[in-house]
Amino acid sequence: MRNYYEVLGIDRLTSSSTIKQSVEEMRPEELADEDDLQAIMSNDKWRGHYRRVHLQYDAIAAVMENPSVTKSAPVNTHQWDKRAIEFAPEQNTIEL
Amino acid sequence: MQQLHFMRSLLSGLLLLAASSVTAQSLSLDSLPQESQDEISRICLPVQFREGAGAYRNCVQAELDLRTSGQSNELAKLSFDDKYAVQQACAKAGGQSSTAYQNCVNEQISELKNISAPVFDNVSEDELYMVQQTCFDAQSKQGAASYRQCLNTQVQSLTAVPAADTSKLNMLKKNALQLRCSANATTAAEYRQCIVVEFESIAGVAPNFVSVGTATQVVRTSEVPARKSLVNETVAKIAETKIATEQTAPSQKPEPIAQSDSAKSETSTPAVMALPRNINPQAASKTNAPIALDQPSVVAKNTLRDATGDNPDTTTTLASTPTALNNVQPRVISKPGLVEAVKQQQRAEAQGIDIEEPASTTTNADSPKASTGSEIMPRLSELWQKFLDSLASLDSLGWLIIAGVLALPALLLGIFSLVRRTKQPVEQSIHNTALTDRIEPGMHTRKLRHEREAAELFGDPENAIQNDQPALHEHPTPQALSNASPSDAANQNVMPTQTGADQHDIDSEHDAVTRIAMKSEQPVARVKPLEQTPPESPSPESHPSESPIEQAMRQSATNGVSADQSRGRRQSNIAWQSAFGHWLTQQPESDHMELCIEFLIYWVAYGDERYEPDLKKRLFTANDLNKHDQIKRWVLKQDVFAFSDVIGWLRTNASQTQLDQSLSLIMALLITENSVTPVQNTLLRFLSDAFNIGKDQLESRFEAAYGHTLPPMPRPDKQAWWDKQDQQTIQRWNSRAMASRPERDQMIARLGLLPDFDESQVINAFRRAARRCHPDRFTALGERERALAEQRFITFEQARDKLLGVSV
Repeated sequence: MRNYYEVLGIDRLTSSSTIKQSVEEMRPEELADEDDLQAIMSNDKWRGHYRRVHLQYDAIAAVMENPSVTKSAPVNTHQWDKRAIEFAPEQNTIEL
Repeated sequence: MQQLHFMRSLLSGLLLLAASSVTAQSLSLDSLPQESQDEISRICLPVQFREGAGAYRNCVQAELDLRTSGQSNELAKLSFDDKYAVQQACAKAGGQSSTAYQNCVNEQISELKNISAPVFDNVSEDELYMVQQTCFDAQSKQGAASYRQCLNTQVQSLTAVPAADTSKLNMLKKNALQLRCSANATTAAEYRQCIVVEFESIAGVAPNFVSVGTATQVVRTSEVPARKSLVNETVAKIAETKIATEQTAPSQKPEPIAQSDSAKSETSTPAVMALPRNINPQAASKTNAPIALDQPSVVAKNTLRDATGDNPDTTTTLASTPTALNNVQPRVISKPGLVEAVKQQQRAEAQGIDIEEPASTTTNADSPKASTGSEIMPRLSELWQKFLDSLASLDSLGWLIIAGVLALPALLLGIFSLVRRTKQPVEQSIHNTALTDRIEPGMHTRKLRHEREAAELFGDPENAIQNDQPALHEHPTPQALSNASPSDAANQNVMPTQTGADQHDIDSEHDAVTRIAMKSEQPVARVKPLEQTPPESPSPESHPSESPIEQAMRQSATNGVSADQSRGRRQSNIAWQSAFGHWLTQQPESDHMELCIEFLIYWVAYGDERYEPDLKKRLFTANDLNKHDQIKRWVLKQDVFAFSDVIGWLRTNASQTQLDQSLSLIMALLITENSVTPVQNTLLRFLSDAFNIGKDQLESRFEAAYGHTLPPMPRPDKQAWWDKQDQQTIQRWNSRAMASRPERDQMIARLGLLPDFDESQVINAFRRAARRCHPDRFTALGERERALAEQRFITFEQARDKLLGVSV
């Protein structure tokens, strides 16, 4: 999942008005790299669900880095490693 | 004046009497062993949940009285299912402390003593579910005796049907087979029959039958039709037995309203309806008629096809009657002569006898000895000539048989290679082959999307999830929060701003979650206020902050740890990532599992922001929180490292069974049919991997538990994904809006029913929900987790009763 909060340089708990302002302030070339950012972050309902799932990916990324978990090679049928990489904004090519 | 004085004295006396009664009760309860206390809690917590504190007290008192009089032991000794049947039967007799109720219980137990308990030795788990499902109406409406009688009848009918040994099927095929059969069968015997027939069509050969009852049946392909006839007879017997059962239990007939309720249920189904849905009753009756020995086998086979409505693969097999089977020795087809084989088969057909498996799969005792080189060519030439002659004289049946004989090895080879191809990935993805989730009916039939009336049912979409309202800074200090007034907090973006919709924030669908700490909060165990900075050297053994009561609880809990829990609990050496992990080490070790599971439950529930509006304010301003509230606070803080620690702890310390059951518990408590939110979906998928279950097994389990497939991985970051979601689906995710809907709509949502539901769908959805909550699914977890599932079950029961118009 794409990490739009990080792209916008804001926190997940930032207020709605600040988010919208941040989106509006993005340069066109930046928006071009993030096809869906504007659509998702401008729609209150979509953004609400996105924010909740974003938290889960944040938590999943924390688990992926937890030595207590990684030492025993967890099952990875959903390719969480790739999803976690995609969560980092510099990676924008993985479609899962 | 004197009268007033007298009245005051009398009132004082009554109050004193009441107080002493309460004291006596608490003393008596405390004096009971922990096991008995747990038992009473398990019985009375649902009462408290349903009827309030007064009813709870009465219930406890009644249980204590029963124990004093020695009657309760009888009830306590019953299995959960029997006890449930007794309680259901006596629910209308009055309150649990009433004499009428006790008399009813005694009567039920007395009747039960006359009926032997069913023996499930030769019954698989999935079949057991079918048995229980078939007898569910008896259990919930006709009393314990009828229920047990029904179980016995069902088991008897079931074990009369030979079982197929499907152990060699891979997990996916086995699951698919079970799903198909559970959808088609209405009784366990039909289910087993279906498994047998379907297994044949999968494997392409007759199954190896496993030991059933006292006889082990090794069945040849040729016996299959006979066995099918036997099965059909069994099905007919079941139907007869059903009628007999109903007729012989007039005193246990359900009350009028229950009768109308059961009008669509299995127990009131006419005999002919007891046949599998794919069976033509007329044809089935044909197979029950005796078949003459000289009857052409093809007739029997065709009859069988009519009866089962399926297309048996055993086209190369010539069927025979049961009598013929008993009298005939296996015939072996010699390898060198297909023509001879055909002739033999034709002769056999005419005589009504059967022939063994095709030549390619049999060892030929009569095969010609090895020929010398000089004899080979003339012999081959002779055989070839005979073969050509025979081909010229073949009729259509002969050609058919030859085609079948030729095709069978290729078919077997194909199946074998297919099995080999699929076996490896399946084994890799399924790490716990012991997982045998129970199979439910109708799972392929439910439509996921209903277009009509959804808006009316689920309300205005604009009323759904509001803006990014929960704005809580991560890791706020309790001091800062306690100093801030609510308005200050809101201004500082510390506490969420309450919107109109938020005023109805409590999620009625998650009562179980809001009450998760109910049982454990009854004792006075409280921990010290949350320390934000972890202790430098926490020692799991010393418990420096533990009060004497907590120590006693810990000791008690440790003594009560089940064998499985003990096995799952290993000394962990976890590098904690959060203050929660350090806090956990301060808790009694025996509580770790429970606390971690509790954390996960709250994490999933609160992930969708399902909590009371004042909860955050209360938790973040209180100084003295019990450990359950502390867990809530960690979850509400969205401490992802605490989540990580919980996963780490569970992976290190819980047994695979406990991991499986933890996931099942989360599903049972939090996820309803047709409304899996993106958060739930994501977490389920992640937990399935973290708990070594994997995607395939998760999806299979989900479909079995909910009757519909788990939606694909959510991508709320993609507009294309949103474009695929319909408005009704999105509205169903919004439990907050649902909480403000009329009660009936909430009940509909609780069972996950779609707008145009009917009574049968209510019943089926309830059964699936009841199975998800069944305590047998949580045997490796603690009593508390089972109590949670039980409470959740009661909410489903209420929803069912409400929607069916049943008043209890």
